[in-house]
Amino acid sequence: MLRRACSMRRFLRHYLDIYWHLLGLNIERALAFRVHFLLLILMDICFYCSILFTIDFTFRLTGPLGGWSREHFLFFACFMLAVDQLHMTFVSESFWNFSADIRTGTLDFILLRPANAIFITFFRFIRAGSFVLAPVPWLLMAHFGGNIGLSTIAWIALPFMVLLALALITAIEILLMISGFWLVDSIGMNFLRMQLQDISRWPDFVYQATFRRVFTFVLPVLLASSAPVHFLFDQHKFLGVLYSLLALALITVAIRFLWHRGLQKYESASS
Amino acid sequence: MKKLFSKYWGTIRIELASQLAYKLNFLLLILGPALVFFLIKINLWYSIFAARDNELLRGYTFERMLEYQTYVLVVTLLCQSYASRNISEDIRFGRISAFLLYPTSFMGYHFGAFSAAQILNCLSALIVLVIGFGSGILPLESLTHLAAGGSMALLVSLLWFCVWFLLSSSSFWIEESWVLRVLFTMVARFLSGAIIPLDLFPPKVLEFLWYTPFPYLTFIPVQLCMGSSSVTFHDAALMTVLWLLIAAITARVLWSKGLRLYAAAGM
Repeated sequence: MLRRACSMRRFLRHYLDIYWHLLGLNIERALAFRVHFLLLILMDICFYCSILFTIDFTFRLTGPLGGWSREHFLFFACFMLAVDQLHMTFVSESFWNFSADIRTGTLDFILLRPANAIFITFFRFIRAGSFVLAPVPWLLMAHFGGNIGLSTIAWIALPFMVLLALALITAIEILLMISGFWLVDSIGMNFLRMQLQDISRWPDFVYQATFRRVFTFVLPVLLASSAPVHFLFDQHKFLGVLYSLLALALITVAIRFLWHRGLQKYESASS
Repeated sequence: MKKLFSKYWGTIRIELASQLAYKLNFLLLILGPALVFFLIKINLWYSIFAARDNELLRGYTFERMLEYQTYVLVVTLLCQSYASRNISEDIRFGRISAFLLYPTSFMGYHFGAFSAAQILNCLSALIVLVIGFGSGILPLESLTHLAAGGSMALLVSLLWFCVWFLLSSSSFWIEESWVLRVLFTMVARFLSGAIIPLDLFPPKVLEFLWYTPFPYLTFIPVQLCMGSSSVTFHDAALMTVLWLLIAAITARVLWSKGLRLYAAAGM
């Protein structure tokens, strides 16, 4: 038991060390291109404004929707902005590079490194510019959450729910991107990924039955975004969170399986 | 003239072949974003109208909104599909050097490629229109309105091309130009009426927007198609040409200035 705990500690330390170095490298790189760094911040501000204005505007015209008030909707939007912001910072950039890694054979060098190849492939690029605005969606969430009177349990669960949504969305996207082993160019997959993110930015009750079923059970992006927020609003609705955890576990198994199948198909262009 | 045309015809043929070589990529890259955007909006407006018991929303019924959003899809397919191209890598990695030696300009080459993309976009838009008319979503009231809206959308696609080229030219100065393109698309999406029709905006905001190119990007072509535009085709076309000239001249100037900074990496 003790030996197992020690080896787990070594494992975690090894990966934290790697990630720490990757973080340093990426921050250095981001600061070398200052205009790009500032433009990323500006882009995030515009993105936040466009999402929040669209919702605010819609509510000025319509009134309550699906039993949710304007404040509920804005809390949901900020929850998704917090997930998006973490996604943009820590994951998104790697997806764009994965397609090139396969095409140019750069993946060879990743496979030779003494660390898990999936980890290095999908988590090595960090967009430091996007992290600057990290507190904004959290502060907005605190504001709207206070207005709708979130319970203490909901406040405690909030960070875990954000992480759960992030993990499930990332897992779905990794699963999609692995198709790059079979496609000549997976830039189209990156666009599909972004469309799924767009779908997840609206609560599940906005969608009609068929659409909702597809994006809850087949490509569960609605499960990732709506289930945690439903739980935060009403702790009796915990089933969605359990389904999310189950979906995460199943997708993780599928990723491992397809990654190995993909590697067998990989032609290693650089060697 | 014949020589010039054969050059661009060659580019169009190559681009058509390369676009259709990877069909899944074509579907996901060109049709996917516009279709998903359309489906999200339709679902959203359906639930909004259902919550209001199909009450009128400032003159819009659900059917009218569905018609509006379907025309937005057509206009988006016709206008914005080329905006996903990325030339910043071409500049950074020195790939444009070859174009400086070719008997065709870089902008000219991309205009040829854009024309090829437009052939496919017109076909996609036509399919959407046929489905729209067939299913009764789009009432076939007047072909003149449709022709006016379609012509306007094609003119606007030229404006999008020039804006895309203008923003991409910034790659001579900054590492990545995609941020600027995403930024513009995001702002344009909201302020052009692609999500919420502009006549639902507060009057003061709308008054300000008329001084910008945004209403001409989506709202006006859609309104012309629906036959409910407050602006005549001639006025709208004139304003679009004005914005087009401004964008084209700025793009040209920026490109020429940028070329002086070009280090031809890899040479």
